Amino acid sequence: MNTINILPEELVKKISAGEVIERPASVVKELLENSLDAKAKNISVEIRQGGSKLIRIKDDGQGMNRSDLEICADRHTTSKIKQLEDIFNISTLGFRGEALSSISAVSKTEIISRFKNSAEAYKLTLKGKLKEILEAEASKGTSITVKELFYNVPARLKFLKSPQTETGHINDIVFKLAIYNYTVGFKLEADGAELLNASPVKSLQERLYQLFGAESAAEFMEIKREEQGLIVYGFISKPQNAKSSRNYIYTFVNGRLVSDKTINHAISSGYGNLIPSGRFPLAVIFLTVDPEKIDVNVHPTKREVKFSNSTLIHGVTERAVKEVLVREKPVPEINAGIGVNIASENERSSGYTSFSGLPPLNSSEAFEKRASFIQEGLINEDNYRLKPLYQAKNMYIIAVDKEAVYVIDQHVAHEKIRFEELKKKHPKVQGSQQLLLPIGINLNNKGSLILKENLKELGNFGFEIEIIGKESFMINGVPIFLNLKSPEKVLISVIEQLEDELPNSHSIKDKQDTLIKTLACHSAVRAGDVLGYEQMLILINDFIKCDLPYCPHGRPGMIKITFDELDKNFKRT
Amino acid sequence: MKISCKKNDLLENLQKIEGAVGVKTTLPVLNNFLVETIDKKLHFTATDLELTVKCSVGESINIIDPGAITIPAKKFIDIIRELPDSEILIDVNEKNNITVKCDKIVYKLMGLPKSEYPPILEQKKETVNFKVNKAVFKEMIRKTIFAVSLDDTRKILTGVLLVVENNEMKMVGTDGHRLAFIKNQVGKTENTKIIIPTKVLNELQKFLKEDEDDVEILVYENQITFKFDNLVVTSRLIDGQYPSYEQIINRIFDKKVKVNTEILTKAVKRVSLLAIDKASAIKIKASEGKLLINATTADVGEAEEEVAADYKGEEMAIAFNAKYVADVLKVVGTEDVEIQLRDTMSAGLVKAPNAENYLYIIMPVRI
Repeated sequence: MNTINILPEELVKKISAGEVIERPASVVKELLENSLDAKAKNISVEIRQGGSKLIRIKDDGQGMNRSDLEICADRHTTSKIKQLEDIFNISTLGFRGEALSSISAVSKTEIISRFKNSAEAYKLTLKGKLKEILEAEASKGTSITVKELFYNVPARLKFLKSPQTETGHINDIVFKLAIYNYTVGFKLEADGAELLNASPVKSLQERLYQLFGAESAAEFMEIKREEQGLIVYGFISKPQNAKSSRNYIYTFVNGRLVSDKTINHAISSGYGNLIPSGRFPLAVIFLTVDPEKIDVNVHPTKREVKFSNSTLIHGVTERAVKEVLVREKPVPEINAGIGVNIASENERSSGYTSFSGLPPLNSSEAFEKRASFIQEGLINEDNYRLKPLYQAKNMYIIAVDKEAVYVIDQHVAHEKIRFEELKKKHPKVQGSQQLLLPIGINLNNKGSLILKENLKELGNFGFEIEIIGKESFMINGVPIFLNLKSPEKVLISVIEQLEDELPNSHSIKDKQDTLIKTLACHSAVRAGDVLGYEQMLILINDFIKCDLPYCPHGRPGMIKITFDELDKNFKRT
Repeated sequence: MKISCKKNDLLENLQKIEGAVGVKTTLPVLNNFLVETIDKKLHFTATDLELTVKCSVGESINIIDPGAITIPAKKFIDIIRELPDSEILIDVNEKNNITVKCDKIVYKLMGLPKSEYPPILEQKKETVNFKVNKAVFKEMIRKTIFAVSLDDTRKILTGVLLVVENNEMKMVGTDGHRLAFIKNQVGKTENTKIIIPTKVLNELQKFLKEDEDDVEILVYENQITFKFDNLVVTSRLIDGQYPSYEQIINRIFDKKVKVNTEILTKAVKRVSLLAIDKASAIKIKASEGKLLINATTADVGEAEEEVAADYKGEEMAIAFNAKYVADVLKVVGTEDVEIQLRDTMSAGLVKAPNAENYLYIIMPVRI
């Protein structure tokens, strides 16, 4: 008996479909790219239940005639390349000839198309091996309906996430493609609700305005650079609008959406230390490279590309970013009380320092001190083990006890204390400072879903948020412990953190942890805040009482050098 | 250029421009100030491009040779401050080397030519021009500036709103949690509505003497100029739409409490010792003839103080950030203070009794 069998074609199709079609969003991506390659001017996407029940993509592109339609779903059929040489000179988005055949292998697919100048339209129905072609009525272009995706691949079906999550992924894809293809109109409808609607516009800037909203669009800076045939063009955000995740960097190489470490790194190093580590800019970058100098055929999903000269790509991108930052100097103003030496600046900014968080010790107003997070009157120093000696660089507290010398990072220490406090108090409702002027915020679809899901939880922490539209919200109350920190920024950062961690975990406890972590971080003293003696005393002693001297994100907060070690190092033993 | 003068005359005037010298600026010449002789007067100018202060001195300084130079501000002012109280001679040669001589002390400093200093453009005709008494203006600044926001994300709230309408001058400061409003009469003038950065107001507060004289205020399209004594202070304005404060100050309150300012201040201070967080909420309970002020922190304890008050009405409790209450008590300036309330979740109003020109609104804390 033979042990090695030739696999039946149906199975081969299913296997290779797995590489291209991971989830509903992959279907949307493949089909959108086809529509774009067909020079569509308007594309609408309709999905139901996260795309698992239905995906329908309609375009007004050039369409297919009957004979094309008949073979379009066969494997390795494509209109985009004809011979091997073409593969090294690709200017269309698709080329492998796999998309339609893969999709039809794992779903019930129906294609209606009318070729540009032809009067009649045809409908192709595909279900597994079955294939049927009929005359049909249709306007110019192609409409593809994909029903019951993965109906014959139960293993894949099981791994699909919730409809909301899958909708989020699809929204992401449409959003990203809509950025680059600004001359094309995009519409996305999920279960009857419109998630995205961008009519065709003439410039990238107008499209960014449509997609990111007026506020963000106004903050963008245009970048443009050309070197050795490589063109870098796009828009980047000001450093102060940095995001806490890399998800907001959109890179397109010759119109293809890619995620490339080289480019990401180049953007980050262009900003240099204008953005703290762990924060990322919002950036939309278009690279135009000679198609011969890149290889896009690295992976079936075409998310990765190989550059023949990645040093040049890195260099030009970095210079493009740097150039505009140097020119525009979008450096935020230094707040009084942060980064400046308050002791000497105290006079100058007298109206300020008193409530910029922690008051300076030399403030003549005794009340200012008391209103801070310590109660000076109640302190008996002997009750505290660790004695602060000095605040170095307004960042590190040097302290001693009987056995050792300690260097403590004040932000990490306070963040950890706040974290433990908030965790202990949870889920008791925290004080909420009501706002005289409610703050309106607009979020994208994903963000507003996350916010709506966590409305109650955020309410427990003092965020009183009212839903006023599909993606618009009003902040009516803010956690009192946030003090005067910009509440909308904190809220957005919380949502970004949740968004980042969401794919990895769904448990409520993890979500709460993420929330508490972010809020703790934002309400803690910062590096650069001047601390008084009593403040340091309380801070470091509370810190050593915490279970582990690490910040909730895992950074160490304390270095301990015992006197034994010092003795050894000074050769005293 | 060559000049001589008394140390204190020089220092006094230098201190007036010191606040406008650029710090952390990308244009190094802004760390310098400009000195030039024009019509037998010496003019000092410092700017960080946002704020410009110009100070002119006539009689107390002796101009030997006319000229112009820019001098490193911080170094120079530090030097002058340390010199003995005596005659100082400042001599600048054509290579921009500055020599400062005083008794047996000699300093040599490198200056930069005037040509490197950004030209301060003369503005077109102002749109509004009015005068206000210096002491009155200073009080208006003091009573509003503390309420502005420090949060750069909402730039407009980091400034103080100045409105002139119907021969009244109004100023408003708010951070979104509380709002301070003050108004006073001014002479006949055009209407205007602008947002002034706090930096310039802080400088003005320092140098506005409380005498009989007026400060002249000129509003241009995107900047404002204050003229008084020997100073011309110009600042850029903050561009944007200020929230409508009229709605906020015209809220209706049905409960009125009158209480002694000093006693209340002390009680708030004492009680907030136990409101542990840095943004500390205190609870105020009003009942017939008294206020009960209370703060509780889990695991720490509780503080409570009773204050006699003029109140007739139903009992009600409300929580405020202690800092916001203390801030207004500090500036209100009258023996008694009137607090108006509505209910636990609505704003409160603090003002001087029988006076409507200064109003302070605070939003409560929900606990």
